[in-house]
Amino acid sequence: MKAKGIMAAPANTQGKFVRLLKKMWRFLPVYLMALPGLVYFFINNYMPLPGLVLAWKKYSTKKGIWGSKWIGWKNFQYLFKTQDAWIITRNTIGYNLVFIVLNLVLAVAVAIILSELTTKWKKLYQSVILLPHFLSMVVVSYLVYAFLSAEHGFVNSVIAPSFGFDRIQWYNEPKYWPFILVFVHIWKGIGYSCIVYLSTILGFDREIYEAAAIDGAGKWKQIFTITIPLLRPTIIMLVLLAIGRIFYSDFGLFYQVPMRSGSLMSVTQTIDTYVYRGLLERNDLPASTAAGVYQSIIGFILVMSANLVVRRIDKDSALF
Amino acid sequence: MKRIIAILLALVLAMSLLACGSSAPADTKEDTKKEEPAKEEEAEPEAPADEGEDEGEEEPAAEEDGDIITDFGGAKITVVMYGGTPEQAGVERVFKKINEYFMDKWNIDVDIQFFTFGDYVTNTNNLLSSGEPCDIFCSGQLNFTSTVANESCYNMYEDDLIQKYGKDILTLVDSSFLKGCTIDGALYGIPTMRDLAVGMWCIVVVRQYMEDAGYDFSKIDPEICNPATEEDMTELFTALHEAHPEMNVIYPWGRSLLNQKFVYDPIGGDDFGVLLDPINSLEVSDLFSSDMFMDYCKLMHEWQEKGFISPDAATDTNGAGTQITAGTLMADTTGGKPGIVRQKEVERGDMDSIAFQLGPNFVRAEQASVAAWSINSDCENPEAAMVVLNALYTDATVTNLILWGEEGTDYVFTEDGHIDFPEGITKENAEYYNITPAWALPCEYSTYVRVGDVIDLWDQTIEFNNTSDKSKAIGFSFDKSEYTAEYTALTNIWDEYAPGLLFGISDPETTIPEMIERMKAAGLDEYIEAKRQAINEWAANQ
Repeated sequence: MKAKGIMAAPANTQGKFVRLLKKMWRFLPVYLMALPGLVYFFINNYMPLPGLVLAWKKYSTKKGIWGSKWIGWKNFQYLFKTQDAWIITRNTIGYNLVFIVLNLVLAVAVAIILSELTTKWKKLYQSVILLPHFLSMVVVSYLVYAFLSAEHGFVNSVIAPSFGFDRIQWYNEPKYWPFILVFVHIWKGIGYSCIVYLSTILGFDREIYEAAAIDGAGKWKQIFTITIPLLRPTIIMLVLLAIGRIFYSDFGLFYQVPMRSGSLMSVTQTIDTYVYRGLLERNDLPASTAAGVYQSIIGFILVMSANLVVRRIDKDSALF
Repeated sequence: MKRIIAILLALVLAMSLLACGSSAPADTKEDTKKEEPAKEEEAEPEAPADEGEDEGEEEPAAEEDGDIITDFGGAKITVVMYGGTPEQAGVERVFKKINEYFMDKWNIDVDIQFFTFGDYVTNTNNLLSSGEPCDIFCSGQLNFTSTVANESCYNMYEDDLIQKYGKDILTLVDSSFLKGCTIDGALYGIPTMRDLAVGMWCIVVVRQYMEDAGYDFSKIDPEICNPATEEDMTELFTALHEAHPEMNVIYPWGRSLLNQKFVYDPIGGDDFGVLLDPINSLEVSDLFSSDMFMDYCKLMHEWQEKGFISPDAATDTNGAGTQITAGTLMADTTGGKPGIVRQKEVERGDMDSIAFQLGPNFVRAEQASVAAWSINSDCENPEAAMVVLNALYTDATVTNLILWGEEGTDYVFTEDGHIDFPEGITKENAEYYNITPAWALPCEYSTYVRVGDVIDLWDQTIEFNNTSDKSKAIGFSFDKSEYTAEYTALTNIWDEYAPGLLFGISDPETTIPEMIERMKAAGLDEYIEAKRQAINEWAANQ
């Protein structure tokens, strides 16, 4: 405050600055709490950014990333040479859309059912539904394999003969996999995604329900006229968060669960697995960087446009 | 302000998607950091008397004899090798011995790193791209042409490096094979000296199961690869299948080993555009539309339908060797060569086995470079690296230390010149055993032969190489850097169809045309044409 008296002219800006410092000082604990997260973000997400230039270079281990030769858009060509770009984009977005819709409907349904239960086993049910969430995808992939393996799988060796239908080469038939993957994803994730809805529902004022019951509203009526409308803000927020990650696929699900079977690639290849394969199986650094750049650009466009649409519908719910 | 932060957040979100892709190799890298035995930086041992020229000057820098350096002043050279079971108690002891040998002889501080077969490619690539020490490595394992294209390999003709420091290699390796590692007059690698020819379509069956099936052994020799036909095999497999319906009969390896199945030459290291008659002609054709390929896939499909091949073969992550030891498989396929029966038996934990070979012996063009050893282009002391590489090829002390360990402790000589475990040591309690098979060394010819193999195994191998049919294209290499888009697209398609076709799960009549159509759309014809031009140009300069 003394500084203000000595220097008159820039007093205004300086005063602002001092105020800002003071404010920051007051919130110091908050900044400190955010620090590990910010450091993580910086190291993991910002430091690799300059490496993006590799997408436009012919990589030489001798010359390193910076010394390698510029070659323009050549690394991107292979993506569009075949239908690869289209297939991985379609799979990534298609699966995620289905996941978002089904997850929403089923998670809300399960949450409501759990909240309406009055049995003492309620906690047990909830834990059982939640359990698959804690399994590693590698374990899940072998659980699926135990069911679907062509030779000794449960489906082919027990279910098929007893119901009299033919054995199916599950890992060689792409047509079944969209359903299998969706099923596995929902089975694994449903318990976790219903937690938020369940806790919101449990926070609702019970008096509203009692009043409705006195007025003669049955269970169904209560669900559709009280629970769901009250859940609306939560639903919108969670769906928006999911849309923000629409170009990010569940790597384990798409890489491990199909057991890396080549014949299934047309329905199981997503951008993440594609980049990973290019990098580890073909060791093609520039080509996989190019695919990564493509993913970022499309992802950015998608997030921006999703947000635009939401802002039109409900301004308060938009992310920005 | 809030808006700007929000937009920044969105950017972060989008970019984090990218980071997921690029952070993938980071986790694999953790395993690459093998714990090395802490090496004490002891005082440099003096150069041995027979080598030391001028004791007057105590120069820390390299000492030169005219033009040739004989004392490298403790230069550090890292050799990255591959093998079966690198985690063994005796490794530290044996590698220290090797290091001492090099320190005594040339004052080179040699550090040997071992990765398993499965990890080698990923780990070595990580070493190369991160610039960590890796002076000598097997570029053939990483795909020779693309490693050269990445400029990871040192040209050994530069400044007469190999003429000065690798003389023994030049005497050991036939110049026609050396040509296989030469691109545009630059020598980027040294071929591995082992069985360079491959006995096509070699099938190795566990003897016990053949006995169960009532096989007549009088017609065959259990020590060699017995010539056989596809019909013989189908007959034998039917009998095996009847005797053990609960087991799978055969596991035909996937696409990377297709070139062990029938005679064709995948020039340039890929299956898109091959020589179908490599012994007589340089005509480049499409493998997938050939009758040979169709017939092979049909045979696999027939075997699959008869129940010889596991319907799960395409997704089985266990190798054939593991399946055989686990008792779920009776036979696997391999490349035939002298000593293959014994090699397979060792792999299988001493299960008596019988080998059949359905095709001829053949050396394909790429064979010279398929396991070539190179010096890193980043190497700080190429002369020292060349000396080490030279020793790895020709110095029996070094090769036998790596392969068998120390004499007396890890092995002893038998009366007829074989080697065997010393008294009281067995496979189970050995400190240093089977770290790598002999064929994974740069050169196996100078190693001792273990009990169980014929004593003249290496002479037989050299003979085998010399008498086999050779591809006309040896020495040709294809620079695909102008066609990476086509190559990547074609590889992706082939990856998708290969398991189904090669394990007989898909019906070749419908699948092959479908695959060819997609490959043509991805530029198969252009790619083949490029290869055709390259090989014609190459042939004209010969």
